[in-house]
Amino acid sequence: MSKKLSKDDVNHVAHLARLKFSESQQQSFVDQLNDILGYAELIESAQTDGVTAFYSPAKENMRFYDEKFQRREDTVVSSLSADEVLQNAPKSKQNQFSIEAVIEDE
Amino acid sequence: MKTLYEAHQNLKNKKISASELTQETLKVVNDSQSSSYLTVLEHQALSKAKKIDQEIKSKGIKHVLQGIPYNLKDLFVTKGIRTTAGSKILYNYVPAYDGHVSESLNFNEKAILLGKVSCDEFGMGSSNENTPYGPVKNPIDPTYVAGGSSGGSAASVAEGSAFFSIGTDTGGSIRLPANFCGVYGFKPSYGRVSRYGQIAYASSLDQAGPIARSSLDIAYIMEAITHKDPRDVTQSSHGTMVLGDSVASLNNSYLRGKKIAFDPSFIEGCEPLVKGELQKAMKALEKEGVEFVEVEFPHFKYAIACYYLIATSEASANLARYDGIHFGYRSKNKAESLIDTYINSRSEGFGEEVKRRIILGTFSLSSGYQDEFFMKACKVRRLIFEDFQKAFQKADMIFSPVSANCAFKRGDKVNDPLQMYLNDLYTIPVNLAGLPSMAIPFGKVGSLPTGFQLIGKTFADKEVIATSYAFEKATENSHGI
Repeated sequence: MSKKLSKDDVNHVAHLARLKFSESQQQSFVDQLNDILGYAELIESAQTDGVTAFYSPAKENMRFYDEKFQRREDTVVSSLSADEVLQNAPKSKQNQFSIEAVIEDE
Repeated sequence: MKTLYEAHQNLKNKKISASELTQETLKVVNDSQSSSYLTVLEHQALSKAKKIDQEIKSKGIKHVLQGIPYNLKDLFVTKGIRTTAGSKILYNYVPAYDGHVSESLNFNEKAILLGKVSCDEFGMGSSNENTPYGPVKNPIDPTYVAGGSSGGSAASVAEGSAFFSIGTDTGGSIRLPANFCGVYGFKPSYGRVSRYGQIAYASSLDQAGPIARSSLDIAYIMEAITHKDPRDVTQSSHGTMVLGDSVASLNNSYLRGKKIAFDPSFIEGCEPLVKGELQKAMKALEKEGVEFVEVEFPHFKYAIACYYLIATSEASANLARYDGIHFGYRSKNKAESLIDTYINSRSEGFGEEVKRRIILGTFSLSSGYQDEFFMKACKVRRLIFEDFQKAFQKADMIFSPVSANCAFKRGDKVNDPLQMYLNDLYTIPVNLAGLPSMAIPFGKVGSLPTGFQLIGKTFADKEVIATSYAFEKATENSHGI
């Protein structure tokens, strides 16, 4: 692995995650992330040939106790009203979430 | 300081009313220097207490938790009560619904919610310093951290501004602050408590659990929050719920013949005075008839790396929902495009640590790196799980430190995230494997509390709590400070 992240790498990933940093924050962020990634590379040395990935204890528990995901009946139940949902929206209009008008170039 | 169960006895015997109990506890809230509470519901709590007093008068007391003042980590959604997750991005979020935990405690049990308490932002931190609402201070010495992320929960229970609190534990967030503040903290088996209405950090690791001043209190609280909830499909229906009364009626020989495993290198890895207290705890257990078995956990050295790749990957997906459109904070800065609205709102709304984890997670899931980071970590997770399984072939439970040290000074580790992460060495493997574990306060180093944890097999929650209670009784272990 031994991948060192550059400022550009971090900015690219940040954009994917819909985040950005000021110029002054960038360098310390890059350093800290490289520190953490450097540490994370420790797992490279673990012998994992033939090991099945473990994603969630829920799945393991079900396998172990022979349980099945219980799907609920597909019945209509009441949910929150539009008013209740929209009361937390930063902006809403005519029963809908509202954003600032934006005109994007193709 | 009284336990929940003692307060219940007093309510039952009419030595105190729920109103008086609530007033007394609110006084501690108002005098508190720990900065635990983010929201105090004084008026609401007092009027509920009055109602409960009338109910008790006419119908008698129905539940152990009835009329008991408590609080919730601000990561549990509460209808009509601001819920911030310790983040600026939810600074004004007032949920339109109650989650499983608040529903169970407020409506089924009729406990009295005093307020919402501080935590590291979205549960990400080990010191309760990662929050724009100000750090939580350890009630024993305010220059020290309370531990995190459920720092407000542990500090409030230790100082007596609540009889109990519900926290969440993703990598040690219940057990570490409980250990730093000298109270009991229980992380249930994964799938034991419904996560409906628990704001998500890392969904395969997150689990809600109680912090209280005695193991018996923990048993009664667990009984109250573990009933089946169809709104969380990962909740298991296996095994019986923990029953307070059955724990209360344990006989004195409960510990006799119990086999408990430990890895001597864990004890050696602790600071000398912490190590001394751990050895005393082991002696006390041995005196009660516990047999200790030495084991090894060869893959635990990978646990922190494994955890930070998996937890951040899950977090990067879970936190994508904060977009500045649907709820919470929206940037006032001019946006040229919809993406700008997202970027500005998220960059201004999230704190540093949260951003660091989202980026780390996005990176380890990104094309070209997914196999070497995320997938590799999931395979290592299995090896850690199997280390536990092997130990459980030889023993009923595992004895381990919670932390190699007591609470550290506030500000000491804030600029070095990696050092902060390494603090969770002994708690993280438990979450990776989805096991139950109780942090038990035992002994002090100077004025600061320390203790140990007992880790059980999957769904052996009751056995862990019962063992903790038997130990507490045998050692007359003091509760709280």
